[in-house]
Amino acid sequence: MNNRIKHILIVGGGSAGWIAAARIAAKNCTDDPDSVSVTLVESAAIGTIGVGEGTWPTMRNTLKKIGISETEFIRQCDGAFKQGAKFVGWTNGTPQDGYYHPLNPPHAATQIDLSSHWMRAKNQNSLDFADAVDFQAALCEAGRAPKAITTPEYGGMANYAYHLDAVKFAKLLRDFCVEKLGVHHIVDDITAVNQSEDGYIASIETKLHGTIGGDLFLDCSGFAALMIEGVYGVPFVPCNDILFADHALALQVPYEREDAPVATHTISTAQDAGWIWDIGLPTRRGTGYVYSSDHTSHDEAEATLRRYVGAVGAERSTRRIKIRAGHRETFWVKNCVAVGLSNGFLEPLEASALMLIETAVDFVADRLPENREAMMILSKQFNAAFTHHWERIIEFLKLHYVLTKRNDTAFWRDNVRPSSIPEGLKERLELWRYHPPSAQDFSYHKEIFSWPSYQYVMHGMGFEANYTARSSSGHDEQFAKRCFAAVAQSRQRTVAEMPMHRDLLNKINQYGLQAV
Amino acid sequence: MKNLTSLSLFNADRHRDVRIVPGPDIALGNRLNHVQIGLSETGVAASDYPLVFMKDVDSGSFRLVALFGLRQGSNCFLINDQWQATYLPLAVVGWPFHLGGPDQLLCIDEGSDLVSTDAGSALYTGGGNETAELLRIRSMFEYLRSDVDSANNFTAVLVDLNLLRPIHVTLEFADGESELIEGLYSISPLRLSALEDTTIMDMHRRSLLDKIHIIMNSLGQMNRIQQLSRVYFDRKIARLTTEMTSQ
Repeated sequence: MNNRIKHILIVGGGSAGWIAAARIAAKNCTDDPDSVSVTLVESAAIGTIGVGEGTWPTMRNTLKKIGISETEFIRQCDGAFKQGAKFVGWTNGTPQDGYYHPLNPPHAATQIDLSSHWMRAKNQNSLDFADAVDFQAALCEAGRAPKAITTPEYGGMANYAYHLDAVKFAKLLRDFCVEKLGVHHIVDDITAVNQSEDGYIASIETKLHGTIGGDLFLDCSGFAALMIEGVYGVPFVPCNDILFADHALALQVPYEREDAPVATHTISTAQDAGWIWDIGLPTRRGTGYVYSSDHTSHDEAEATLRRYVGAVGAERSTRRIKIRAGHRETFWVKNCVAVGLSNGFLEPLEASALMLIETAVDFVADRLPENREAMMILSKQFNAAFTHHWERIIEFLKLHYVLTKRNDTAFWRDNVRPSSIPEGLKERLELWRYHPPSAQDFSYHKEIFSWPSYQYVMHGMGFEANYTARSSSGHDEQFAKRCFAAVAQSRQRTVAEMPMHRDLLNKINQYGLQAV
Repeated sequence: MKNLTSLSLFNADRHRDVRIVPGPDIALGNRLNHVQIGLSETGVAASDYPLVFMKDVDSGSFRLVALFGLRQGSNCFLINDQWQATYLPLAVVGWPFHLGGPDQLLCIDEGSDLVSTDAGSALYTGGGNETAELLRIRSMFEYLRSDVDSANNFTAVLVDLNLLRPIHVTLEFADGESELIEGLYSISPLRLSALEDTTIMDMHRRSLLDKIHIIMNSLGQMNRIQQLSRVYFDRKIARLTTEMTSQ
């Protein structure tokens, strides 16, 4: 039996399915009749979730590899530039309470750890950590873009990701897949999945197109998890004992004025029983309250979101989505890979959903298994990687909650209960009281959230650490001073030079960006 | 022409008494390190200047320009108020007039030293008719506008074929320091050589291929910039290198 992996069958046409189809086809399909083929089957009846609207900077590489121009992406998906997140009210809930988690790493990150120097200088210097070690928080605060109209596509003066309209994004990918990449698109309902004797999936049955065979199956069927659960019964590992949010209430609102500034960061504002996201596209704002129904009622949640949004949202209706926080126990079984929501889902606190799709798809597309022997080994690697990723992402999301000093509601008090904190995180937090988070704490070579992210959140939330006892050579001290001065200089320069975010988006719509 | 704050649309009523002193406008020339040229100028302009592509700050679109200097606001060709070149681009010859606005209409730089009311050539007769001088200026700018359009169309062909790539000019000073000049683009020889025969033939038939080679070869004039730069840089340039950093 020839067990070469040639036909890739993707089930589900949301962001996960189309990103997978596009990346696999762009990387592996040629005009050669013997080349790999990609087929995507989606049901007409089932809609997409369509609220994943924040990406990671990795999306720039993903789009580039697919071959989509950044100009087209921005124009067709109502795209905007995202330079990080601002967390409001997470530490103590006072009106001044807010900090940035920018996408730029701290200045000279490969040469020096500035956090201990910042801490030592804190008494003379009132700058927040994010402002002291990098200029990007200032760009966000000023509403300035990370690039100019003269900057090439996918290049930036500062690191950036995107905010986008998820429904339009899936459509752009679909059109590109079908028109440019030769992906076969079938709209049909799946009635059964057929396994061969060895337990591998052989084909799917559809209502109108009959039996469709394949060698490798990607389960992008969302919460339905048609194959990974439906066929293989892989258990779901919930983590609602750590992350309490179990619902999201989404509400899209118009701007008050057509030329209103577009925020260039996600704004995440803490509430009594969760937090509200606020994502600015050029055309509208997407907002949503992520909450724990153990700590508030649906009605109270709706009232909270409407209070946050104010008059602009009065005429708009909300949409409630259930969050089942957790992930599969394994992710790749035989010739079936779970990608997207079928793989796992967490509250969108750090925009991990699309990024995890990209991580999974990179794995499959860049080393598309040659045959079943290779596939077995690759699936082991994949499962080990995703087990690690989920554990660490859950810890990182929990970090945002455990450092709170709020005790005004049960939600915040419950979040710091030791029994709700993963052991690994507890242990590292103890270490980080004396030593700043460093690369050594994140040994996995493709770590998703590494020490810069931890430092931004921990210092942003006033984590009580004592690094002053650490000795510091005069040489280091001098270098740190020069770094802080360099940051101050680039902060001034970039805030003055970078265009306003909306102005740049308008220009991209009018003129486009150059490829080089 | 972002730095011309005194530019206004040329208008018979407002500019009836204006007279034009012969140029070039040295004050303006000293502030400019490049000027956009028309397609028919490439051959002659390349005998003096490096021809490169730069991005328009407003639209990010590529423009074909003759380069006068490496730093913003430095013109190596102006030495002791004399323009040391055999060819002056039409846009420079036309000063104090410019093409401005989205429709590229005739504008005049009212603050220019070349604009006067008592010396130079009149633009209108006593009876209010346009003088031969104004007619000459109008026809020159008519030509320049269509020639710049041709250059923009030519540039669009290069962009569509993905031939443009950034070039980095590195100045190494005698004291060991160096300075990197960015924002300049040229045609990638490797990308050009990888084009299909039919594309090359098509460009040849449209008289674009010769322009491509002229522009690529004009990078040799960077040596001239280095030679002339001695007057402008406080430190001696030991070496100037031009390289295409990405293919």
